[in-house]
Amino acid sequence: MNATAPNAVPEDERDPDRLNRVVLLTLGLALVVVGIVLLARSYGWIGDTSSAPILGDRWRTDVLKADDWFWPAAAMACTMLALLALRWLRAQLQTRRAGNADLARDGILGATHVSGSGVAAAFAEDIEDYDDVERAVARISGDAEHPVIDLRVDVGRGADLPSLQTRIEHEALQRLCFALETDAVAMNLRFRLKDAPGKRVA
Amino acid sequence: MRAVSRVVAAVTALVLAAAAIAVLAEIVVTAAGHQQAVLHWHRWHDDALTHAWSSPAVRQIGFGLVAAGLLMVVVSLAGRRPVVLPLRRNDGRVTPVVHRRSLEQTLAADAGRIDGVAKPKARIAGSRLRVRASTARHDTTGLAPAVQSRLEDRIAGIHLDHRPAIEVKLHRSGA
Repeated sequence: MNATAPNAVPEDERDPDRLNRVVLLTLGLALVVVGIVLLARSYGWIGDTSSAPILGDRWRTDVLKADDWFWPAAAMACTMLALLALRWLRAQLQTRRAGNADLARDGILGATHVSGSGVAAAFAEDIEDYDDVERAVARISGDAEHPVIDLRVDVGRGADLPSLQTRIEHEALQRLCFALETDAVAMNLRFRLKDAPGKRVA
Repeated sequence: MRAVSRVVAAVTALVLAAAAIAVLAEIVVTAAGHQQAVLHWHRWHDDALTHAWSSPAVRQIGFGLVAAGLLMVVVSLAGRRPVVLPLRRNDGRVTPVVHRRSLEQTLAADAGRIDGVAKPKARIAGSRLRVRASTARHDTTGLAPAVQSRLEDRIAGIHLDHRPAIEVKLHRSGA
């Protein structure tokens, strides 16, 4: 079972960029349209309205007529807009890394509960013992049947990435699968090449 | 461009939230029978009654909105280079990637180890790796191919899923 399509980039790499692109494009186009309409009215490109007051009698009459629902509706729209804007703002401020998911499984002899943070830390420590690995950080998500591990490995610039990748897959991931009692562990493995040529000294 | 987009998004979100909260506060305060709370809407209302569409303020606001809107459109449509580059997969369960910027720095450092190459910069965009560097040598024969060969070997050893075409440009630095 593979949770990620071949060659797909892990989803969290794009977030909140995709959201920003959509919202900024929508807002940007709306602002351009509103700005052009204002300029068109101001320069008299649409109708001969350039000399008319901005707030005409028709507008005032319409708002006065709808006084019973207009302002409550405006208040509701402002509330919605404020909440959406604050949520969008929060998406810019939050860090990419969420916490680890705990893995729970029901068996014949009872339920097994595995601490996601404990497994992730042990997995990362296992990989930090490899040559060329400066630092490893792991995070577990998903559930006990289909856990997904996001692993970031900082390596020295001279590291042999294919060998390291093979070793992680054949050794550390196999041990993790054995510990979690499932072969359906998907892994997003992210290498970062670092300046330091050797391992850290504790 | 991701960082610029994030800053523009944060500022826009903050302005939108503040504006919506200010208008909401004004509606609530006015409904409760009080005078204005934060916004000078009485003055704006009077201005809107007396000023014509052709007034300079309307045009300034119109141009400002178009400029801000175009900025947002440009930021949203500007190309982004990927944060990570996919590596060749051995195991269907594993999606391996390498951090693009760290790879660029590594490749630049590799190029810089060649005698005669200074201030190397590497940039991966699309299917191309562009390397720019300077050299103090008068005779640069063979230098660009040496850089290219070094980087080809390095990239071959990394097992990128899509191997980029390498383009090397050397500029002679001033004597």
